[in-house]
Amino acid sequence: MSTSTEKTTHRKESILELAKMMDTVVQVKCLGGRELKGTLKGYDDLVNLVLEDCIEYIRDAETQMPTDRSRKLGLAVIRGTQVSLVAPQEGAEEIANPFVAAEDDE
Amino acid sequence: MSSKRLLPLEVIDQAIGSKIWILLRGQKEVVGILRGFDDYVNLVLEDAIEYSMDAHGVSTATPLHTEILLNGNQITVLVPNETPEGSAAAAAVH
Amino acid sequence: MLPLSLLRAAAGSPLLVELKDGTTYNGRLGTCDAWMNMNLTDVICTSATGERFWKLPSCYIRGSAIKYLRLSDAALDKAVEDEKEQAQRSPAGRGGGRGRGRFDNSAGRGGRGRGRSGLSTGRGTGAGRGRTAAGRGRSGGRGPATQTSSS
Repeated sequence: MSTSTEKTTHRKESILELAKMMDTVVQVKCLGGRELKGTLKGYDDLVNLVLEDCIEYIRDAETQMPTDRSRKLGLAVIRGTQVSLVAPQEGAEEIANPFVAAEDDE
Repeated sequence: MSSKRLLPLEVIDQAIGSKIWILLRGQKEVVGILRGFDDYVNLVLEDAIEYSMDAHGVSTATPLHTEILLNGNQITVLVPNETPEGSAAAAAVH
Repeated sequence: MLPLSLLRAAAGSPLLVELKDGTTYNGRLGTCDAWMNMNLTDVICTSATGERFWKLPSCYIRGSAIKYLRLSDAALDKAVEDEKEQAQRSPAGRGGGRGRGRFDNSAGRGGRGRGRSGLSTGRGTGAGRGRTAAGRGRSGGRGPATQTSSS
């Protein structure tokens, strides 16, 4: 009987629509900084994930920035409790600084 | 539509009895034979080896006691039937 | 006003999320839930160092990973309006009762063991998950000399 104004989620349904992302490549960031990418093959209510052909991006030791190097994990299970971000890879890309306003004082 | 959805805990269940590679929250990894787990994904591992990955990807392997209980709090990734060496070897091929 | 009410009012408007690791996400808020998990669209991700940028059409962010949010003024105005409406609709009931989230089983258990059987005692009671020898768990207290005489 939750009469909230906006979107109310049902009790056990996650707002993350993993069903839509099935069989697509997703990027997952974990608490602690690990970054993984793989094809979503399964999931559960707690956002535990099954990724196929999963790779982990190796981070630079000092800056902790993801590098181009990666290592292959294969079929992996990601713990939902450790997930901080899930994003579909499609349409995702690195870009130049988009916040630089054209503030040329000329 | 295509293949049926895999349940993560089922994948872990199927890995019981075989080697499993666990990535922990920091730069630590553990490999062992999975003997069992619970709802919180605490694990019982046999013949476990702990790897500490340092800055240059060099790892120090420390064999642990015969059977250990690995607390699920810091477990981030589970990879059944794979090891760090196996993964590195596969990468070298490509 | 409760934080989650403010967040709900911000749905559809742009916001900035900074995570505990320093990365920031600028995007438009979609859905959110009682744990502050949220879906964003048209997102720009900035690294913690501020040197690298990524564009993501959409992403899901875990509430527990968030350090803080910055909302637009429009969102705040809307939240204030929503609150007034709520107050008008139910003058006796305060808004405080609503925003508490849902005290169903999920939240009450602290987010663990959701969706599992209610008996998670950590003994692997989840049906045959490779309990080694001591699968007895709780029923073992009987002892051998039980005589159930059903006269």
